[in-house]
Amino acid sequence: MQTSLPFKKIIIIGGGTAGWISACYLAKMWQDYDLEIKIIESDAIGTIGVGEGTTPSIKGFFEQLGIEAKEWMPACNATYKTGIRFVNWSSDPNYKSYFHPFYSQLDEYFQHEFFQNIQLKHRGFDVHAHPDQYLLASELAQQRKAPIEPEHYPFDMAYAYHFDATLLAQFLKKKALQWNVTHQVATINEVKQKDDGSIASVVTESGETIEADFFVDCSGFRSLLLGKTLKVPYNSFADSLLNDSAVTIVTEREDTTPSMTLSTALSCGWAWRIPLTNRFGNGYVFSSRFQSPQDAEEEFRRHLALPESAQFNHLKMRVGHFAKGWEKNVLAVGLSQGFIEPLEATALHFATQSVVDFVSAVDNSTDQAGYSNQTAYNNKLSDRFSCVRDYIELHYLANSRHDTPYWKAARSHTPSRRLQRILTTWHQGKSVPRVLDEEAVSLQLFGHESWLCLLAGKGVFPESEHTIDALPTAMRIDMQKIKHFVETSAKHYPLHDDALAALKQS
Amino acid sequence: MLPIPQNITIVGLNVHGLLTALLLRKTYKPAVTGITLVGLKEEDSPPKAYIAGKTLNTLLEHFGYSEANWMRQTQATFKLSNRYVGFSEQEFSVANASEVDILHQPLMLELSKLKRQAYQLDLSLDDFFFAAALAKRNLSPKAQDFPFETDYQYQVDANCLFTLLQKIAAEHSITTLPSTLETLQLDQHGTLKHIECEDQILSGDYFFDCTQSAQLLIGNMPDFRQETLPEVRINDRVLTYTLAAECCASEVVTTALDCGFVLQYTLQDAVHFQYHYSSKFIQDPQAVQLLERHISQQGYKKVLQRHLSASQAYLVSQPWIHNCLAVGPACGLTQGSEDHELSHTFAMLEQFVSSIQSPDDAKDVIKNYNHRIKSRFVYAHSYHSTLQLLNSRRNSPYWQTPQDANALTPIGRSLFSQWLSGEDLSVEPVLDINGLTAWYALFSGLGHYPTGELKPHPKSRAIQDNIQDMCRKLAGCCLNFQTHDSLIAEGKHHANITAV
Ligand SMILES: Cc1cc2nc3c(=O)[nH]c(=O)nc-3n(C[C@H](O)[C@H](O)[C@H](O)COP(=O)(O)OP(=O)(O)OC[C@H]3O[C@@H](n4cnc5c(N)ncnc54)[C@H](O)[C@@H]3O)c2cc1C
Repeated sequence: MQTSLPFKKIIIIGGGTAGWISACYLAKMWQDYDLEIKIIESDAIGTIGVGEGTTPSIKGFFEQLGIEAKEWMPACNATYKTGIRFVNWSSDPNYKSYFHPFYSQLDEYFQHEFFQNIQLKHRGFDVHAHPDQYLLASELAQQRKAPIEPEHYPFDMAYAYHFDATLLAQFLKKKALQWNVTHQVATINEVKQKDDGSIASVVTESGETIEADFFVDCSGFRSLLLGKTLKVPYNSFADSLLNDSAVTIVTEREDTTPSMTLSTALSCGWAWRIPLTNRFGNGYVFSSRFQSPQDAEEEFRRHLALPESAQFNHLKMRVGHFAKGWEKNVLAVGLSQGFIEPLEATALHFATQSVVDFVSAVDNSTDQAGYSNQTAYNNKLSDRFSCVRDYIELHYLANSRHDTPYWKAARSHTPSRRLQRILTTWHQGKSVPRVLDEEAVSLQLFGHESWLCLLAGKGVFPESEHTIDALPTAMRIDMQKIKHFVETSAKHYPLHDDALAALKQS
Repeated sequence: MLPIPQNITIVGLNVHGLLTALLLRKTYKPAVTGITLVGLKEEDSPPKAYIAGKTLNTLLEHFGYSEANWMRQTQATFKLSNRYVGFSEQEFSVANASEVDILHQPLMLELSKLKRQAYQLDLSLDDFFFAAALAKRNLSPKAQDFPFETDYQYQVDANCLFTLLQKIAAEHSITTLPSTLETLQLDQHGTLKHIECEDQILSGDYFFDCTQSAQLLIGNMPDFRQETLPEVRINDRVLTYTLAAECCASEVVTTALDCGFVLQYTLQDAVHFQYHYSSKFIQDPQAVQLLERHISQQGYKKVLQRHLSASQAYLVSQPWIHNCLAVGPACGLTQGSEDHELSHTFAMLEQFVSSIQSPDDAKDVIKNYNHRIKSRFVYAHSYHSTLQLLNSRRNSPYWQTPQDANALTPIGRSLFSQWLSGEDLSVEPVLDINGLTAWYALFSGLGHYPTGELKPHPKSRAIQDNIQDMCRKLAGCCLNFQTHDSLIAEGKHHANITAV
């Protein structure tokens, strides 16, 4: 356990979401140490500006910072997120869409029934194995309700948020400055290393040399320190995840605010639709190998029914991650560390977890320099990347669209050994949760239900051979009972717009 | 295969006789099956309360009486839990099952195991049972838009129930014969041919003996034998008091007193105490004094009725012999700290009806019936005798008689040894009597945890947080439930309007 901090000065390069997340967390957690934190961002190099969907870990992150929802949510036009609805990922009309929920304690209640019907479906019985009807979050999303647990219906409910990434960066910036983080606008165009290769200082375009004993690289896809300077090897996911481009646009809000992200498969990728209190954020993530940016823009424009005059924004992205997230005296957080692609909105989860794990690694370090847990940290991060990558990859492998070469290519690569094992287990109708546990996958972001929802929701089942009547009565699940349970439970939750209005008022 | 009954004769004009008649009538239509009930109503019936399960409601609803209606007529209230007081240092509850409990049962199992492994944990299993949480707040089992089912029972006034059942029987082709049994006639195989009542001869293909401990039919069957249920401290007396009461609890309270225990039932406008004690250890006048003191400590004053009777535990070895079945106390009586009398009767008739439908050989069907029914009694008795043997009360000679764990029934013994060795409990439970969690509640409530040096648990803080979180959740769920008092008052109000 550290009694004093091994660092006196930390420089964070980059003022995107990752930079401010890092600044706030380090400042808050190490507020009692004699530590100077400075963030340097370039006004010539913009932030990526997207990144509006999150996973539930972000909630805990804000809690650790001591920032209440009523403070930050209205400031960032934030809304609640119950999960993601995936539309048109399957060509089977019975599986046109499905919902991937965040965990609800109440889902455990009929989990056994869901699992049982999945097994029966594999044995060819025409039972109800589509996940939506079993899940509370799906019902809440359907009714545009907020996933906030009421006092009289106090069951655990995980949820996340949607927010305006630019506003969030501004909000966190304000907080960080209050917490004594200093801020400098400058572009770094040189990095100086010590003999051992570690970073000694960074030099701004005006020639100022800024030294520190530790650096956090939040420079986005540029990966100025980790990638460019320290030359940590990069593991690309481009072979299995084809998307490398995105086209984005904001559109007007609807009368009521949805509490979910929509992910709709298009001809060469998929489109997100994220509700904020004042607008929707929309983006089409596609593969430039299969569609030109112009064609993608045109398809997306039609998809959104927007006029020709609509102004889109184009982005390039690189999928993969650096073999280490923490090398020498550099920690990379955000896009500079890696990116899996926006499906399932996991990037900010990586950013927050990276900085949380880093603080814990240093605090629990057994050496004075604070590095004794560095290898373990890097291994854990790599593991997280590969587990989450497998899950995202499964979306593509499990698609059943036949309309374009893109979708055929998306499912035609060889999965990792682990993913192959999961798929084989599924096709054999055996227990996927057991394999997930054995492979320690379920310790990561996506638990059992997520995997089962994906496979069942996309209708990855053999053709049904027997009607439900062929089953002994005791094995027939009363779907009406489950429906009643889920619908009655949903009654207890507030309407999303009411919950948002209450936040504003408080 | 057994023949479908065409002519049923029931002896015993009491709640069990009437329930038998009505339960059979529900299955067998008058055009096919004649049902005759013979007996004289006992003069001056003692006050008594029963615990009834949902099966009573199903039966009465079948005959057109809504829950609110029949509850009003029988002064019934709800029962969610049984609270045990004075058997050990802490009082504890054995609660009815609730679907809410499913969500935190794994935690309960894990923590009760840790505590048995000598970890220092502040643990009361009461916290894990939702029905107990409701009962402690004096709530009813009814809520709007609360999709978890919580099992509940009823506390019913026996005499009012008798009157209602009698009325229903009269409306539904049950022939009642106010007469007493004189003789019975068996054929050479030992089958009951007919019975003679004053100047009438009543034949039947099936005879039901509902004559309680008199056992007028079954007691005269050729292979009749009676077994005593091994009792540790034989309670041979029951002293009952009924008092006026204003508010009504949704639980039964069982309190250990010197030389026995008192069951406290709540009826609408009344509270009913049953003191089961052993005359070997206490004289009747002292028992009266003791019970009266207990009653006044509870704040009750206005005595409406009192009664003293003898009681004994027994079980017939074959509840069904040839064409004669013993139902109700005629079959057996466990000296329960919980009352299963009516639930046994319902189970017997349900089992009888399914036996008639069975395609198997008649002999096997009857054998199976006898086995099942006896198992119920033995199971109920096991629970009771475990409570009697393993409690830690030592304040009178009655409670100081040697505590010999070997006197536990095989079920009790096996479960207790599983408990002590830190295993998960496993037994084939008779669910409408007591599920597995009731055994956890019992062993834990009686304080059977290691003593001496306890180990601190490395995650004790997180464990206590978990428990607190669960209690918060249960308390939150309780907010959905109507108070017991207001629900009962609503029922009365509704009945008044209907009457007008
Ligand atoms: C199409 C797309 C959709 C996405 N959707 C989601 C989503 O739904 N959910 C989610 O969690 N994430 C999403 N992400 C990822 C998310 O946008 C990023 O993880 C997040 O914005 C953090 O970015 P960043 O701060 O690492 O990088 P950036 O926002 O790119 O910021 C980089 C910063 O570094 C500074 N900088 C760079 N070079 C220098 C230099 N030489 N000198 C000084 N400063 C420099 C820049 O000025 C800038 O401030 C998405 C990403 C893409 C591409």
